[in-house]
Amino acid sequence: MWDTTFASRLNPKGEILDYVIDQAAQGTPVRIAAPSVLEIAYGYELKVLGGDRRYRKLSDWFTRLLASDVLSVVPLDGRAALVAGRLRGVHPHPPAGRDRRSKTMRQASWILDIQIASVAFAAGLDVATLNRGDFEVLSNALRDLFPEAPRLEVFGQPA
Amino acid sequence: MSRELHIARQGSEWAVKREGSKRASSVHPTQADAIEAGRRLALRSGGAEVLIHSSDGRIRDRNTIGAAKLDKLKQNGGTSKRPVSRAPRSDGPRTTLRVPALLEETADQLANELGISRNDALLRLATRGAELYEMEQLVETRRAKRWAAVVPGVVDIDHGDFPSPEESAEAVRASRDVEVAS
Repeated sequence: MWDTTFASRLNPKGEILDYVIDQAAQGTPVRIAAPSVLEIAYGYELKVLGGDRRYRKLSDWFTRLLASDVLSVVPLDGRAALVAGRLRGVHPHPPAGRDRRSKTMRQASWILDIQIASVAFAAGLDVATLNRGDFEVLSNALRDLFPEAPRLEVFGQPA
Repeated sequence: MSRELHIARQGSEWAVKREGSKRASSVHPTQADAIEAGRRLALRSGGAEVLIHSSDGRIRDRNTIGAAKLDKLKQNGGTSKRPVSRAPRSDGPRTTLRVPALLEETADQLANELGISRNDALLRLATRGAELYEMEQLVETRRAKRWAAVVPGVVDIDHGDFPSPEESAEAVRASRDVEVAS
């Protein structure tokens, strides 16, 4: 399952879309977590509100892509929410690192990452992300919480 | 309205053309190749109606790809084409049906509970079932209408500016930097 760092590169002109369409044609559509859809829609909307009309078009295109079922959106369902709640309990704050953002901002991002990791974990999937460090931390926390569960693997490549 | 793509013969080859466009989006040696290219272009555009012409120019097939299905729903005013079943009424036409064992058991239980005949109990169960079915249909229709209202019309990916993949990825990353006013 792609996290937001890969999914946010989807673009009508980008090569990554060819891969996504191929995967859908083979019956193995690329999966993204519902919270990633939230992040992408939010990011585009902020740009639109900031006056960049190109993002209205991109947002419309992305919406139609979702409506075309080319991507498989994995929901934050009851199982994932339960896992996310427990994960947040044991790891309420993001790992300390060289992050220039404020505590509030890092916290908000961390909650989304927790949700994405939990969606993948509960759905029996692994995560492909450019943010491996944070997801490895979450994978380790999941291993400690559920030692008998198959481990959430974290990959740095989209395929 | 959904934008249409045509797969049509062009000389000895097969072309993929957008509705109203003089130039072909792509040209292929076989019709099968052109159909596949049309399908991919439709998906890239977020959905379209693909019309496949035979060699004599007549439309021999049409495929609705992706979100174009929602465009059709919008055109129909969001009405569901599925028939809605009516709850049976005791003064309606007579019917003879075999009652499955599970239903018979439930009907008997209800009949005992309310002190009514098995037939009356069956009618009550069927009426309740029809009400639930209609409710499900109502919710499903509303769900489809709401989604159709969220999904915008066709996006022209051939004209106008799009942010690059790098820009759009950065836009999403930057949104994590936005402080929420408390």
